[in-house]
Amino acid sequence: MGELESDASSVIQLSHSLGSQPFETRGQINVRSLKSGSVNIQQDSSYDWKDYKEAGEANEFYHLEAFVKYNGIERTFLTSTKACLLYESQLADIITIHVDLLGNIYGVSVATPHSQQCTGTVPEFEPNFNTTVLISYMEHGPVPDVAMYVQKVEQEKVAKERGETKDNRSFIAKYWMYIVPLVLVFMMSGASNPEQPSR
Amino acid sequence: MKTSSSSLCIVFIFIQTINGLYEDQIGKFDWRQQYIGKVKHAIFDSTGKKIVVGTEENTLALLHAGTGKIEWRHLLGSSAKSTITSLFLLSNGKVASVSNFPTIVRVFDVSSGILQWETAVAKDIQPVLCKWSVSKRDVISIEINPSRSGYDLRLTEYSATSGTENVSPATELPWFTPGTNCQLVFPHLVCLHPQDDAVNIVDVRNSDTHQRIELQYLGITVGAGQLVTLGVTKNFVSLRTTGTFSLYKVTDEGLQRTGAEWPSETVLVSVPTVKDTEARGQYMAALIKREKNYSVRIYDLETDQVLDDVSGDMKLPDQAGEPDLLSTFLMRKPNGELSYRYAISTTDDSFHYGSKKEVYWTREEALTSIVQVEMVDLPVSSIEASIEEEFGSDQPLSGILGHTIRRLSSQFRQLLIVAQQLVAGQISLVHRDAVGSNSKALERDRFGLHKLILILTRPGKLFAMDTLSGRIVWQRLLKNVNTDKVRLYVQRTSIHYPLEPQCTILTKSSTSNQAVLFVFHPITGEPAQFGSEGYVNLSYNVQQALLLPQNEETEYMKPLLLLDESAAPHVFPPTESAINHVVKMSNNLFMFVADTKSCVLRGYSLAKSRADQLSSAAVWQLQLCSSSDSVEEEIVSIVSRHPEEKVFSQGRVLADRSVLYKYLNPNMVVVATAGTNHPHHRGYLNLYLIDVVSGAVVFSTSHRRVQSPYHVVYAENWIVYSYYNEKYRRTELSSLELFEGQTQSNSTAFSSFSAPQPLVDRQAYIYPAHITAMKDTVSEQGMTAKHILLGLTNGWIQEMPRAFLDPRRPVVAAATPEMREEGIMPYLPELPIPAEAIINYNQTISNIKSIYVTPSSLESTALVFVCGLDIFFTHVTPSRTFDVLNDDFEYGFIALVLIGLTLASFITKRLAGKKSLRQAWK
Repeated sequence: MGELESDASSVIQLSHSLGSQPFETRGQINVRSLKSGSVNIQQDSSYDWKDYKEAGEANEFYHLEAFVKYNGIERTFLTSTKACLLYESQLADIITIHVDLLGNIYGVSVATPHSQQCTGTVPEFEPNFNTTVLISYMEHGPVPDVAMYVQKVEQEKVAKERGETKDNRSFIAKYWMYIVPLVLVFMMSGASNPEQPSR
Repeated sequence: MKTSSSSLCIVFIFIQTINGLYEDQIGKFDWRQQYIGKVKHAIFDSTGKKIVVGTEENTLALLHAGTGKIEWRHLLGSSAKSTITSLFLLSNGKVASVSNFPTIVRVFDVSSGILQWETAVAKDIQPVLCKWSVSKRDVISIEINPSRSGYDLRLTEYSATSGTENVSPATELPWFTPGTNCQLVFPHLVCLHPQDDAVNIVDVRNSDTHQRIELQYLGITVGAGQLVTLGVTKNFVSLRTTGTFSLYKVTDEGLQRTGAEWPSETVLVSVPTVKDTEARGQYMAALIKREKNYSVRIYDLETDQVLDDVSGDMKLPDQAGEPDLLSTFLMRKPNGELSYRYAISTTDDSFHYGSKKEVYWTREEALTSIVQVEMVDLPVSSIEASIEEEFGSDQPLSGILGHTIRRLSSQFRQLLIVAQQLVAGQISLVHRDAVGSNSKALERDRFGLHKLILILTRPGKLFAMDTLSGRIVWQRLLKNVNTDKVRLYVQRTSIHYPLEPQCTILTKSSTSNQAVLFVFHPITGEPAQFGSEGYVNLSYNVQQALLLPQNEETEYMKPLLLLDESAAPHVFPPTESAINHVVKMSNNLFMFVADTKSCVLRGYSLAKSRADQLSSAAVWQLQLCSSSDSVEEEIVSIVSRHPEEKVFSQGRVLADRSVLYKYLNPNMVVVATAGTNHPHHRGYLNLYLIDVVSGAVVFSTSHRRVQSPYHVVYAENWIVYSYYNEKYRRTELSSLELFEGQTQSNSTAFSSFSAPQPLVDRQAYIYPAHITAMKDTVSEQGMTAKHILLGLTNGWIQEMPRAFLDPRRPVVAAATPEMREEGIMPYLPELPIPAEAIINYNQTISNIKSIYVTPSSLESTALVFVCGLDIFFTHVTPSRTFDVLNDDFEYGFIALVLIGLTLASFITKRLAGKKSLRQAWK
């Protein structure tokens, strides 16, 4: 759920092309509310299974053009992925609509599930898109957390006054002032000992 | 107890990262040079030994005429718009300066530079015209403002001694029209409208004295469409048309023509400051353009003739531009002869001082407006070059005999070189040279600390500076170019001996919109064998340029890829091997173009390029920013990683011995957009992490109620950015760090088209100072810890360890053993500025604009070049000098100890042998 300042509905016209072919209509995404993220998509692939296979083998791009209309603003976006990745995922793609905090759509991007490698062969499939539409919202930037820090310092102060601080230092860290002289004494006596048997 | 342990931990970490300087290290590897900016006003004082200057950098300074050194210097306000509009020398040894935006009058004592008084002139509306002048006792300002019935003039007098204001009642100017150019020659105001054919003169104290003088009457005939320009020097005004130049003295009666014939080649005139008071106003100096150089002519206005024996020619240094400011001083030598001194500011921003004989000194003030800096390696020394030649691949002789001959001849040559250097005194037997020794040859040293700094400046002047001394090795002024947009590329470094290094500057032609390349040798500054004298005129306008990271195989040149207006790619140099290299790489070549105003970002792929025709196709397009009319939003910064940055560690080892892998996307850039005038939160900053190959937005974040200045640093997998928080009125630093998670998706190659989604850690900190520049340190292999260099408004440069800005610093817990093991400090909202972290110790750098960092061949050391009004160079060692011995290392002592130990072992061996022999006899 996005934290937007203004909500809007939008219609996104999609057209696509493989390689350098001319763009053909793919369908449209209806965004009923950017805020709630309710979307539906109507589309059909105008290309054949073979077209994807050939484009994939020729290492072509799959281009998707999105014409967005919202609040009287019109913007055109372009996004691409490798045709072979799309072919391999059997037309399972993810379309992400990027929205900033003021409610502007600033990008539409297409991607495939990222485990794809562009290597294997895929059995023949029906050329129907299996699309996931995501809306990506901008996040609020971090702010210096002064309140939490002050609270932490105060808690520690209170704990100190009550004398409740638990010493969680390690054994050596706690008693080093006793250990070091002991070790020194042992070393000194150990150093003088070997001379005794030589006499 | 917890706090004390956590603070103990912090103290411990501090001790680890302190990089203070010892007193004896001052000036050892750093230097600073102070500048003042392009001189706009220059006045000789009455003795001629000092020059008061006001500059475009809003600096008022006193220069010593003999040496050109700065006696004192004041930065008058730091607002980018404010400049010194007028500068006057008052009769009582004081200097008055007037700055605008906001308008402030300041009076200083010339000899000491102490401010006497200052007064801010509050203005409700910007006047149509505002002029300043001085009379004997007062600083005078006139303003022309629109009134109900036209325009009126307001005269204000400020007492020169105290600054007391005295406003006269407004008087009407019925003849005034907007667009009129006026000059104040107190008490007269001389006005000329470009379309008018008459000059208007009025006494500002009494508007009834208005006179209108036809240009014809002044002896000027103006052809159709010709413009007359009005200039002023002290109590004279000049009128210039395309073919003529004439000078008039302003009197109560009107304009009185002086100096019968002024050649039309007169570039500048100035009323010289004269030592003896009775001759004041008697002389006039003019700078006249000759075919090659200039000549200075001195006129005696009383007798109306040129003093030929005084006048002389002037030869400015080779790489100086056209003069645009002249100030002169006349003095009488002991033998009674007149002689002059001049101070000239030129269009290349340099400032020259000289006499009839020669130019005594030149200040290179272009160094205050640096556009780009590259530090290039010097060529190998001649000894190493002869070794290179010996083992070079293309040798005619082979076999045992051939090799022997080659070895012998090369060693003979090396011996000769050593002998030559010994004779020339280049090899010093004293260890470690101090900074400032200019004798050192321009050769690469063992640790790559000796480099050449290539500096590209706004007026199109190029400098090469020695890193050891800050000496200018060579300089060159680019000709016939428009340097509003200019970039410098190092196409071939000096590693590829015997091929010469090569650099290229991309800029625009001054006459057309087309791009111009200037190709040159970075070490000598000589133009390379391209085009005409190194200038290559391209027949298209370049919208984006990309220097490929790898060089091609035959000439070891990094090809420069240029994208023209129609997005067609071009390669420079257009050689076959460079084009083949581009075609070979074309499947992985992507470029992107960003329009900062419309916020449209477009990515192109060069995949379908062939050798006979390179082509590009758009693959993605984004449009950032709000389209709303009320909000103004634009791209303020686009930052990519340092192209040669190496990441040593692929992940961070956590306390439980698992690895958190870094998200190292080589194609990601940070785009920051800033909006103003938003109805609710006024200013805001949006930050987008964009993969510029696929066009995917990896992450985006927004800060509200923030203001410029914005600075972004992006290295490895983290981003640090700063902004001013308007709500809390403080500077804040935010830090983002991107991780792939506990597993790495593809360890061998990164593909933007099947990239994982990163996890983003973020944290913000308060910074108790104002930042003007920010940069990360770079090391050769990326092993050394990263520090962030922060240039502050007070002239400090702080070196801040990145660990302080780690977004994983936990807020809640005190230092736990796990954190200590990982090296993470507990969160403190405010970042410290310890005095030891100021790398420029007491060498304040005024008005820091940018910081440049280059790695040296020593992994621990990076070279830092800071520029602003001053320039500063130093070394930083973020992880301390772990790979070199300390400066104070006792070589003698360690040798003594070694010898002693060897001797002792021999002696004891002998003694032990004797003892065992004696025991055997028992």
